[in-house]
Amino acid sequence: MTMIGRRRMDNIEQCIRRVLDDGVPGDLLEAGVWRGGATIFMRGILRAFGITDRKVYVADSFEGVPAPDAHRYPADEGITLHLWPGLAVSVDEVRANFARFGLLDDQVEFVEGWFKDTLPALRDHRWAVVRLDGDLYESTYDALENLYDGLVAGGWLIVDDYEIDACRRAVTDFRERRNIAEPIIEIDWTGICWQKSG
Amino acid sequence: MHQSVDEPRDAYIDLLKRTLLGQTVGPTTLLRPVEGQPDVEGRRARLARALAPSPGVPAEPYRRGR
Repeated sequence: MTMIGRRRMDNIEQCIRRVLDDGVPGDLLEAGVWRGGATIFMRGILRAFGITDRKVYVADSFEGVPAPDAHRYPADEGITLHLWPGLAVSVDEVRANFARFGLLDDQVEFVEGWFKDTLPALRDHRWAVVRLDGDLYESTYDALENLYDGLVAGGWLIVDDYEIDACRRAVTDFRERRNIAEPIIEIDWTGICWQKSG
Repeated sequence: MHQSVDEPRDAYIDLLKRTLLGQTVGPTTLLRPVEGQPDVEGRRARLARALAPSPGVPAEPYRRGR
């Protein structure tokens, strides 16, 4: 149901517990969900804590990874993830996965489409936890550009693919352009996060 | 024994996490070694051939998963 491994699942739990403990407002989002495992886990944690005033946003093309646009995003040149059919999981399958765990309800919002088309509509939303798992420079940068301003102080930004050079460059470029100085915390060999300061 | 109110919640979160990671298993059939000699003609030889490449032990189910 997920590829992210134990330590990154632990990290999701820790980040959500922190925002709940600290009273950080906002919803939870993952951009790039594959079969939905991480977002199912997010919804399950909210259920376990009896939280009814937050939602989990499940953002994905549900068609796999886009073909790289090397002209606009040279860092993505040569990446062939769009050729992997196993990365394309339909929204119906992800919904069914939520349902299998009894966690498909009105606290789950599906955001279907390419990030560049869908995420701008979420610019004004408030987020407590944003998790990026889009692999490419383009996907990572689009998500940061459209979601980071909505991340509430005290909220957590998680990046799954920091080991991928294109993703790491997108994060580095964004942090430099925005003068983001919050220290990067390593989760495991590829996952990182940081807590947004006031 | 007193049970903390956090324990069922934490247990649910941990179980959900392990399930999503594929670290849980469904019904299983437990086996036990076969004692004595197989009593069906030819079965002993077939077992010997089947087990020859591996350090296997003749076994039979004693509790089937449901």
